[in-house]
Amino acid sequence: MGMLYGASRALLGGAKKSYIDKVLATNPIAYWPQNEKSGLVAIDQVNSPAQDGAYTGVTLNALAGPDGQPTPFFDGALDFSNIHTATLAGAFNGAEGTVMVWARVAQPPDDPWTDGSIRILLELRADAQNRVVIRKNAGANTLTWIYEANNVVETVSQAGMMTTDWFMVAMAWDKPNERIDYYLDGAPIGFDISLGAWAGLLGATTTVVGATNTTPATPWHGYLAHVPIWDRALAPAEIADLAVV
Amino acid sequence: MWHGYFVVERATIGGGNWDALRALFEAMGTLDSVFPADNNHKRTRLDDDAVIHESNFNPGEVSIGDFKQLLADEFGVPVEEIGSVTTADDYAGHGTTVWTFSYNAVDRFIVRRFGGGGTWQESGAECRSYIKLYQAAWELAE
Repeated sequence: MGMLYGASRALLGGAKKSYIDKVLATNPIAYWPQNEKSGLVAIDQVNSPAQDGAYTGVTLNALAGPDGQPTPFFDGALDFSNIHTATLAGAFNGAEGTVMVWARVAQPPDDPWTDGSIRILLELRADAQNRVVIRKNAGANTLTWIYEANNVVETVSQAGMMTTDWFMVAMAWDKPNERIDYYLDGAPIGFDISLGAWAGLLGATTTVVGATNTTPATPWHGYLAHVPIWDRALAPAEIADLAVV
Repeated sequence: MWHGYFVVERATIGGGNWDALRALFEAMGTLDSVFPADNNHKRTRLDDDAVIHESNFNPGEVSIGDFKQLLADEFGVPVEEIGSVTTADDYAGHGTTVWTFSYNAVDRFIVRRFGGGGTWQESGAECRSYIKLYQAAWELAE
C-alpha cells in the first residue's frame, strides 16, 4: 500500500508521512524546516550538522506552520537565520536550482504588507551581480522574485498580496535550458528566458533566511518555515505538489 | 526581567571610548539562553554610530543609572560627573524614553529605550517604527 500525505494510518494501513518527509523525497541539497522549539541551531534535515544554520533573535515555536509544526517569528528589526556554511556554498548550483519558502506576515494589528519597508524572505547572494532573492517590496502589497546571474537580472513581481495566512513562494532556474519559473502557492506566475551565467560562491554574510545579510538589513516581519534548496529546477508539477501540505 | 529593545546613538565621543562602550552594551542582558530571542543581539547602523540591542535584560540594566555608570567607568570619572537629561519620543504610539548622557557639558551618547519599559511587543513596535523613520541610515536602498 503506498503512502499518502495527510491521510491516517487507519485508512491506508500505512504510516502517515510528514510534510518534511514529502520535501525530503524530492532530494533537496539542503532543507531547514525551522520547526525547533529551542536552541540556536537551525537544523538542516539533509546534512546536519555540516549545513546547520544559526538563528539570531528569532522567537522559536511562535506559531503553527502550514503543516502544524512550530515556526519561528522574525521581528522585522534584528532577527534572521544565517544558513551559510562552506558545505552549502560548495553544493549550491547557481546555474540550476530551486528555492522554496513558506511565509506568513506578522499578524494584525501589524500590517507588514503596507509598512513601506523592503522585507526579505530569502537571500542567497554571492555578490551584487549573482543572487537569488525573494522579498516583499517597499511598495504596498507586492512580492518580488529576483534571479541575477552575471549582472543579468530576471525578476517578476506579484501585486495585490494581502494575505495574513501562510503562503508559499518558489523559484526554479535552469541555465542549460535558459529558463526560470516563478511560483506562488504552487502555481506558476511567470517565467523568463536567456539567463546570465552564475559566478561565485554564496557569501558568508549574505546567505540568509529572513534578511538581506547578517546585519541584518531589510529583515522579515512575520513567520518563515520550510526552506529547501535544490540543485535542479523542479518541474511545475513538483512545485504544485509541495504547495499541498 | 525586561525583554525589549534599545538603541544607543553616538554623540561626541572618541572612537576608542565608543568601541569600549559598544562592547559593554554587548555584554548586557542574557547571553546563554537556549531561546534566540532572549540572548543579546544587535543591529548596527550603516555608519557604525548607533546600535540597537534586544535581549531579556535585568530590570536595572537598561536604566539611566546603569548607563551613567558605564560612561563614568569608561572615562574613569566619578558617576556624579556624568550628566543626563530625560526626554521622550514616540514612534508607534507606545512611547520611548530618551536619555542623553553628557560629560564636561558635552553630549556623549543617547539611549532610546523603545516602549519606555513596556511590553516586548510595544518595544518592538517602537523599534521597527524608529528604523522606518530613519530608514536611509539603517536600511539598504531599494
